[in-house]
Amino acid sequence: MYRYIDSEMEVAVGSALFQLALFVAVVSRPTYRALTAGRPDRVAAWAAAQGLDVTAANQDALADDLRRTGRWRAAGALVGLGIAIVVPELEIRVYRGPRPGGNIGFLDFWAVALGYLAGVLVGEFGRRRPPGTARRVASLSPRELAEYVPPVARRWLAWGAGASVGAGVAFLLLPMHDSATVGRAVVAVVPPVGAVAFAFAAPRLARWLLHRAQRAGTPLEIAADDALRSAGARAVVAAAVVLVLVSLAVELFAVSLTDVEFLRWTGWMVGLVALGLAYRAWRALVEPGAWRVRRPPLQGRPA
Amino acid sequence: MIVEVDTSSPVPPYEQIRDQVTTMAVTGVLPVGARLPAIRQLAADLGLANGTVARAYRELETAGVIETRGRHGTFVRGDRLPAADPRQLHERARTFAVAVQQLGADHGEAVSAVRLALARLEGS
Repeated sequence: MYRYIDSEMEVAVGSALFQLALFVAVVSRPTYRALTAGRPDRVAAWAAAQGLDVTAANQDALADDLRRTGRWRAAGALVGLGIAIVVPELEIRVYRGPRPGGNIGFLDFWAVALGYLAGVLVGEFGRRRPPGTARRVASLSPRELAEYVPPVARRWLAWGAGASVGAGVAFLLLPMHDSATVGRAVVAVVPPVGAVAFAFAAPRLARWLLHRAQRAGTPLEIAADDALRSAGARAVVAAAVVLVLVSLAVELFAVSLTDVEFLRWTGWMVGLVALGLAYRAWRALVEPGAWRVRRPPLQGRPA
Repeated sequence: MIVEVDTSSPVPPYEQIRDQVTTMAVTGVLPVGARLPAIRQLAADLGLANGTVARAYRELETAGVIETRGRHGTFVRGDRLPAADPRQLHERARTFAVAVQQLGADHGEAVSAVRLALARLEGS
């Protein structure tokens, strides 16, 4: 009896340590990047990746912006990590009934990605607005989402959300020996609904960031502002892609709990692939050299 | 393609936007089919209310300079660009003449300023 409890405790502690290590691995990179974002060499590397010239006129502004947004993003991810660690502890202490079925623990990744997303938005809110002078100049060139965010990212969102809904429906309909009806409904409905919501909201949020006021300055200033805007929009979409693909992974792990033999063996494997893709997609979107703004250079004078 | 608004001018901002976009469309600076920025973007960049830019777009659409294609955006029209209206032209010239008088510029300076502005427009 005692031996059984000990081994159960060991499994729980081992699982918690594994999850903690996984989360730390996920958030360590943005944290490191955030802490070093304002360093002149990092600013120069970022600008080079974006095809920008760093001059005395724009270096401080670039460093300030990269430092501020990076810190907010890292802070958001760390708060999410904290929530991911603290909430399950509270749940164990407060909620004493049987826990819902499925691999609900992977939803903790949601907390990290949501925290990161919140950090991105707070960082963007802190961007200084152009001063209100009597003479105001603006470009008549629209800022299109496809010029600032790789179009493939929107396809990832759509496909991920669609697959998540499909897997959720399959989980609900397939036979399952251990039928915890309420928990099953929650696992089948909440992640896919969340995935669809994020796939819908992320492009709109990114577009909202692009449409915020832009100072019409020199071509170099506009290019620098566009590159920073692109980084913000890509970070929003990256967080949403992670949220969508983690939702898909949760559904696939849940599907592997059904009585269909084939899915019992393949569901969790594909779920792991979805988690790997989430991490890869996030890196592919937030790396400084991941994407260069495709907006045509500013031309002309006021009419 | 740049649009400039002077909020201290007696000409309302929506008229300034409307006139500049019309001039750019008529002279070909804004090519036929060119997409214009979303109302929200242009209003934010110029620090104006959305309604001001929306009014300029609405008047441009009524005049046949631009067209809105639903969710796809607003585009410069190619089929029905308005011909110069002599009455409007004289009215604007009179406004300019008043400004020249207020500034104390002579006839020659005023004409050169107009020539220079037109040359810049054609060159942009």
